[in-house]
Amino acid sequence: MKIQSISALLILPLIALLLCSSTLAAEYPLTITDTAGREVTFPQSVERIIVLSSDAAEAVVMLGAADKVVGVSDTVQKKSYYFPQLAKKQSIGKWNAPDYEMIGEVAKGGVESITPDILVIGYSYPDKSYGIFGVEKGLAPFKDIRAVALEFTKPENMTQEVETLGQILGKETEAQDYINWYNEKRSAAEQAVNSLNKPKVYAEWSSTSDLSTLGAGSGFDQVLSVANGYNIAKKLGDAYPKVGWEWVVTQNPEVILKRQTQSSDQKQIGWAAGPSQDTVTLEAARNELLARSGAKGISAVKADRVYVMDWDILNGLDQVVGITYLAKLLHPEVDLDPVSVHKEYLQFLGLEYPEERTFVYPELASAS
Amino acid sequence: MPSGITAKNVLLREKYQQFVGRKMLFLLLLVIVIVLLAGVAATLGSANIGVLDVYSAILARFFPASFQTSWFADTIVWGLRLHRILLSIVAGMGLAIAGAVMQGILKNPLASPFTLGISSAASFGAALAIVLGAGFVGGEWMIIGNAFVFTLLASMTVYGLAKYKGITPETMILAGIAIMYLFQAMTSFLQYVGHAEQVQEVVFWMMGSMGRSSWDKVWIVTAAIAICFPYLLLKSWDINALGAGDETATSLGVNVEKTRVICMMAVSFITASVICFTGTIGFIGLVSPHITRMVIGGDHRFLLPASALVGGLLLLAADTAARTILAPVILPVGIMTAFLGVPFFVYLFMRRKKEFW
Repeated sequence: MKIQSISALLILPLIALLLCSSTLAAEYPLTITDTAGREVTFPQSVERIIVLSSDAAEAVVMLGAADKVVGVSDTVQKKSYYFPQLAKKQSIGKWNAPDYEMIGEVAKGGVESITPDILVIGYSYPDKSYGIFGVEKGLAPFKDIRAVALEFTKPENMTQEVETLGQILGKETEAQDYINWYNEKRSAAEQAVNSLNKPKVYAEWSSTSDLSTLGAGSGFDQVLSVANGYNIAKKLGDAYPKVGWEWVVTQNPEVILKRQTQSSDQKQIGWAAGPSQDTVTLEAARNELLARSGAKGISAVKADRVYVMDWDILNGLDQVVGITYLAKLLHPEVDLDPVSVHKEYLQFLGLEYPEERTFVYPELASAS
Repeated sequence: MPSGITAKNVLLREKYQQFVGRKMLFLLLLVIVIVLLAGVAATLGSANIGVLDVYSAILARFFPASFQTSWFADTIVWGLRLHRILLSIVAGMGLAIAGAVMQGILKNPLASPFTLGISSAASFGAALAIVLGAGFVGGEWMIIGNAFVFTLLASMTVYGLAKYKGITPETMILAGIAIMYLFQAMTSFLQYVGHAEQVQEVVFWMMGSMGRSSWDKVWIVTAAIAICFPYLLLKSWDINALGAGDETATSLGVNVEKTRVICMMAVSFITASVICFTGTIGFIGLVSPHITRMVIGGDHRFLLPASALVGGLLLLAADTAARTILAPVILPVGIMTAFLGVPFFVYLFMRRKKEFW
């Protein structure tokens, strides 16, 4: 009796140890749930990846799996300055109309059958032809190519998506590192500003034909509330509501942010710090806004708080960089350093922080 | 003298027989060219499969005993390429038949399947599904269902409007223009309220694409044509008579109004079943009948089948080019139809000797 119970005591921890080690090395078949709510089962580990979006490419690179990428969409190729590791990968066509035949050819990779170690990562968009269900249909003739929807665009899904991708790629540790960093930086920004006054903010998404701003339901609205700003368009339900300049003047925002799209032949992130060709363009965009009739009466203009922003840092995995920038911009008195957060983020991607670049114009005064 | 007339008659008859022979030859030639082009198109694509592999993959389905194929070649050829090629052919045929009949019954060289506001109605139906997510059926058939229903709705409205003033080409075209502007305005409104990505998808839909093809869509379009085409062919004498004027046609025993209405409905049905799958592919329906007319003349008994073949050939050529020129980027076929068709059209236009309009 006694010997039996002792041996049982010895064996139990052993079994527990075995169980632990087997859960650490992911077990196959592995089933995950993607952002579109689909359950996808992997019979073996994923060794080859095709990315249809630059946000997904960024996530794969960030988790250190760039060497597994075998095919990219046109949007990833256009950002090759951001993913030098992916510049030479096979193109599979446009992000919203991929060439499925090419995907099949890449998946086959010289041999006669498709090994089920290949994965296509796309957007969710459940009702669109380029959404995950459309992609799934396009891949249907090839039985063993799996597709998942992971977007990395909305703050509410961000950490979950990184965790899922980490699981799929067997990069749980890297994913957890990023999530810890993200949560830390995000709560640092939140804690620094949450007791301060909320300034009224007008964000201009586009001014080409009509003015459009970012309402409730946009990712920016969530980002702005984390940075403790009040979105004057919050009551406008749509994500990108169209507004009139008269309405903006009446709302009298205390801070104005203007989105400026990047030129198509961009070679680096952000803009060249002034004085440069980039800052001349930015100055012109800012002056156009300042010259609108009635602009002089707006608090933001009187207090000289009109900024042109690089919207790339407000979307995607570097969103927490944008959150820190916004928190600093809205509350100049807080002790936050967006540049160091940005540097830390770029280390995840294995990139150097580019000197003499700027992401906000006019540049913010450094931490006081 | 009588012998002279008989001799002249015989000569005319001979000439006519010769002309019929030329028409038959043209039809036969078109069929051969389409088969050849389809054969070439099946070998083109991003997947690296040899010409022989492609053909053994095709033949292996018919003669499994004597042909060997690999799983990959079979998947690419049967799963991705062949249904797209066949859909291009039948869609081009449908649009060209519709265009030829429209030009015939409206006696207007500028008429096309889209004259009666059909394309703008279909675009509006698609935009409604894309921007507002509202439709008659749900899921993946929503855009298709909307485009189909609104196309038929537009032609019903044109019919209703024209009915009041008598069904003449003028009333039909005017009613069609009114409908076209109405639906265009409504589509513009939807684009104005829609998000950037939705607007982009509407524009993409309106350019037309073969990317959504599948085997069931091939069968549906083929069935729609198979139902309507024999009837239209049966009516081709009546359409010929209409060309001589409504009074002349009436005195020849043609029920002018009825012919016009039924032909218009058949044409709308064919067009609706094509463009709800492909988007509004312009140009094919307008130009295929003209190209055909320049070669074999305006007799609708030959014009209808020959236009159909020209249309199928044009669309297949355009889609093959769209697939391969910038591969792996696939261009919308609506852009390629005009790029390929216009030079050919201008060539025939500069060379033609006779006036058919």
